[in-house]
Amino acid sequence: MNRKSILKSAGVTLLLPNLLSAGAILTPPKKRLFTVVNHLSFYQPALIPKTEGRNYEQTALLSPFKDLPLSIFSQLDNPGVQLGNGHTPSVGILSGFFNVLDRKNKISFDQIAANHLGTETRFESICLQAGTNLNFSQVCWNRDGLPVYQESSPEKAFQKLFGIEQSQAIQNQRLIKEKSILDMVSAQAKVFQKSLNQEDKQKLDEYFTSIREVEKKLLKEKYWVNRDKPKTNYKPENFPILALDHYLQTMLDIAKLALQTDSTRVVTLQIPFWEYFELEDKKDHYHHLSHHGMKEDKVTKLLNIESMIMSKISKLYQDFCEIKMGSSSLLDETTCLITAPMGSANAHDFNRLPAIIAGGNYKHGRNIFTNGKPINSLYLRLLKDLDVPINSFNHEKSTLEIS
Amino acid sequence: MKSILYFLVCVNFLSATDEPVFTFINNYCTKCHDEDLQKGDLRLDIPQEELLKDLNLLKNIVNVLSKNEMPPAKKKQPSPEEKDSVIKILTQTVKDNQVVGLLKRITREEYNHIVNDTFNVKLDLKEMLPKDHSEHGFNRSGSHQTLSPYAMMQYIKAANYVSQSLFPDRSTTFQTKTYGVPDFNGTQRGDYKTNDAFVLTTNYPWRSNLHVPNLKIEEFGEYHFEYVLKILNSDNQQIIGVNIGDARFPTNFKKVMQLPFKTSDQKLTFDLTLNAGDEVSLTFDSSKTWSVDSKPTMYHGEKLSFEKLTVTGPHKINLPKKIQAITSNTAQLDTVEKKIKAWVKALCFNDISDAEVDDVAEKIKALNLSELEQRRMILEFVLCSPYFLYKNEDRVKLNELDFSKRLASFLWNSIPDDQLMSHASAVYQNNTALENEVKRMLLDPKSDRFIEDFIQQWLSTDRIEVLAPDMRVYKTIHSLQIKAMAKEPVYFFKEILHHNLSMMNFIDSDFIMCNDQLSEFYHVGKVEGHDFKRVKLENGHLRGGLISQAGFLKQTSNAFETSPIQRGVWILKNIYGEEMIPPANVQIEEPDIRGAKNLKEIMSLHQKSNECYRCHSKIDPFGLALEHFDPVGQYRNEYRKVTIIDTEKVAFENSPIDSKAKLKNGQMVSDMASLKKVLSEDHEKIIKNILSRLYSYSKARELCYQDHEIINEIYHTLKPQNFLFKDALLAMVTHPCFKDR
Repeated sequence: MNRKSILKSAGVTLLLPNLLSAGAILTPPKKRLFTVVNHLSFYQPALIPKTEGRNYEQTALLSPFKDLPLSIFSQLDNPGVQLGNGHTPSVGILSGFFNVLDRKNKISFDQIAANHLGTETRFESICLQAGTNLNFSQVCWNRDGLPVYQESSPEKAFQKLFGIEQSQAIQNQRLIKEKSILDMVSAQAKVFQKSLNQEDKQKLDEYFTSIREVEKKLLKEKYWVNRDKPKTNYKPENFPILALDHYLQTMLDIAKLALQTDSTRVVTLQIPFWEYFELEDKKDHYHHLSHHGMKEDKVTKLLNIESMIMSKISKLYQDFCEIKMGSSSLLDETTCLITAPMGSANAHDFNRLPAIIAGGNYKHGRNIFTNGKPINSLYLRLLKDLDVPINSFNHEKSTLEIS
Repeated sequence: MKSILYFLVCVNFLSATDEPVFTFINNYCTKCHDEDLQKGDLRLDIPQEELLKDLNLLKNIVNVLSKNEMPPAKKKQPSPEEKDSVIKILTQTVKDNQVVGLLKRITREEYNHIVNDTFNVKLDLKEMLPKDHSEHGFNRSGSHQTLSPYAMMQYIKAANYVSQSLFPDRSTTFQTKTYGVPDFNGTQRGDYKTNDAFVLTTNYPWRSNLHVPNLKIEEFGEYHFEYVLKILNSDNQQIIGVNIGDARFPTNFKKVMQLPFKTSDQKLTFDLTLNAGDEVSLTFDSSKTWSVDSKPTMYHGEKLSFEKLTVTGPHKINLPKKIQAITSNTAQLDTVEKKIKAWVKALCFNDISDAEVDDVAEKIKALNLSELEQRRMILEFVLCSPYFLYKNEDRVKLNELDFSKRLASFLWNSIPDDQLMSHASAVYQNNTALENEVKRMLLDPKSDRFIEDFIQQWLSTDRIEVLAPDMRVYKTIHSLQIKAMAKEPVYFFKEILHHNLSMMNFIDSDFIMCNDQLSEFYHVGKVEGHDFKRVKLENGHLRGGLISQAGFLKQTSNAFETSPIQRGVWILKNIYGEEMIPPANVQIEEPDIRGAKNLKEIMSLHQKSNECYRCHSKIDPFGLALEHFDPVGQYRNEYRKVTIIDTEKVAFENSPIDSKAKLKNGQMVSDMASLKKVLSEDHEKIIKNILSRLYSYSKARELCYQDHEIINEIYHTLKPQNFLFKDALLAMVTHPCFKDR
């Protein structure tokens, strides 16, 4: 790989964002990614249809989606997973990798998408979690293998999208200082370069190129600092911290707003490890229910939760359908993925994973038994269809076809 | 006579009179390496100019000709004279045209150490900067380095963090705080409180810990921690982990130290440099259990009982005199220009022109900053400047300053200290002075940085800890043993270097370095304590040398199976110094090497194809000979095929091991002893390889053709004394070529 292509892929090629006005300017449809990870997974007998291909029979958990075409994958393998303690391998669901003895990981596929799709929006990605338990909750990992902060506070998430953080004056000051430093070192580098031989001069080009790219990034930051955030009438409601349904609904609302206002084009939402929770005034223990041991009453209660989750997500997809973006809908422009790090939470089986895809302008409608294919193949397919220029994801070169 | 002729021929490498080369190629190469066949994806029927410009291709051609790999045995062979003359011409062409030591940048390790050494602090900057890669060669070599826009952004952020931490707006308020048992918290999994103690019993990863929710770090600085505790139910030393991270959610923990503790110590004390908002927690790393099924209060094994914590800080940073001369209120640095000059000199050791200074000063003045803000701004500018980030060595020969910088970068991963700077001239001109200074530098604890970095890059020791051994299969392996395995090569190297032992010890030694954990693992008798000590081995012991170390054997295996191919490649690449490049066009199918099948039979399929066999004839026998060592590096008599039943249970199926293999030269290997014998016979190649690695690391560049002669020279001066290692290092730095780029 030559140096220039390394730099280009690592750097930020900037286009100042187009004005966001529905239909006013003919712009090619944007691509977006919305990922939901349910840490405690799903009861697969009620999720995955028994028949393969199109015309599959509806299942209890998929019935809310009956008017929305889906592509259903099951039996996916997460190649990096080893037996960890309890839930630890769950952190590798979106990166297809987990390093048990270290707190680091490899970049998750949504962050690769964010690096690529995030150049025109205020935020490269928004990572949320509908729940306060942060244990095993890192599913988003950046290019350095470190966790991307997942916001668990609806207020803070809302503030990030719509509120004023630091004063514009302070932010502008910082940007001016940083630009100044770039000017100073750039001038110095020109002098420095004079003392170098031919090959070294070429090597120093990297320095100049990097400075130029960072200047562009600062310009972009300056653009956003001095541009008002979008306005909204929505107000996140106060809810009891254990109310799983309200928590999830609020985070889904925020996800919708984030995409709708084009504040970002990549949103990842995790429903993390839940223990005690409240649902319709009843208190229960989600984790305990996920270890149902096939007991009927436990499974029923578990399905109650899971139905609520699927119901809310399907309603969100419906909303996406109705939000017009130019000549298409938000649903068409957004690849929507639902997945989980365990094939069976009951057995702590970290393979045989499900993945449900909607939107993204695919011709959905098939139920596919993958028979142990790596989930990275699916991620690679999604990334390629999001126009990310890569040939492999985490060493996986093959892709799973969606439509 | 002949050589003069060829030299004349080579001076203009575009000359059409390189007849010997092209005649040779047309006679012996292009039948297979032409447009139609393109064997190995290579065409040699290309125009002369193109061929001679591709230095890598020329090196490759020389390589395969010298090793008699090409032309293949069954094809028409050139005469020895023809071959030699072509090798000579191509070698000279490469020598004349290669770039030596492309512009180097400081690595992120160096950046971290330079800042910390300059300011006498312990900042953790490494993770702020992107990793420097070292898949082939060392990451300090300019030809492997890149500087991306992302890195530039991070340099700016790191510089800002450094200046804000060192020179904050507010002065720090020193405090002493004490905490007792009511303040201590755990996770209620294996820990419990009594009236006067908080007790940790387990080492359940990402769970068991002791933290203090009321301990809030409000500002950056160095803090001193003092825990009063004792060990219950044991007289043994324990290992306590110190972690930073949100203690409510231990999966976020970053382990920053592991400290040994004996009951007689009574207090556990350590210093930590922390940022505002950091939280500190302790883990019981040497606990023998992960969970306590019965009540933890009833657990009869070792426990840690904590009574009190005292934290003082932030402690004032004692800036070195050199920096104080810039920051204190002296009249001498009254203008911005003078300050800029002073900071550049302090961090980069060189002077910049007045014109440059004026340019920078103008920009800074335009910002209307307070004096403190100005100081931070200048510091940030210097930390991002090419004079700081790059090493601008003279094209041919280093000057005094750069030579001292090279020594400090090599032995300390940092910049020269005051003593080295004061001896810069002497060290440059006088070999005795140089030797003395290098010996001093090796004795300085900072030299550990060089050894750790060198070993990690040379032997990829970071891979040792990547896989956790499966608990269902390896019931007695403790994570502390794995950690010790990762450190073993470092201590081994250190012992050989500091005691000036023979480099032959890398091939086989009558001792190993181990601590209590590792001595238990290797069954070499009881070593006390967490520190590594030399342990003598009985005659004929399996261990000794590099290739019998568990770390190597483990990192070349996966969870249940060994990989003889990975082991063979590791030995060829790291010990022999061979370039291992997988063949371009071959679909390599993953062989199923799970225990029960006859591995040897499967690997013998490599012999069916010339392309495969070229390298696998070397790789396979080495790996097969080591099959008696299991995936964690323990000796085994049989294969144990693992079948997973469920998350708790596995089943084993045993089968015999056939580790006999034939080398390319017909020699047989079958076990560690016979393999070490082969390595011993090849010691010239191996020792030259180790010398080459050291040379490449110390000069921060790849070796070029001329260097092989230098290595050869050094090798022969070391031979009479049997290759003593410290002498080797000294011979290298005192060699006239060490002053060359």
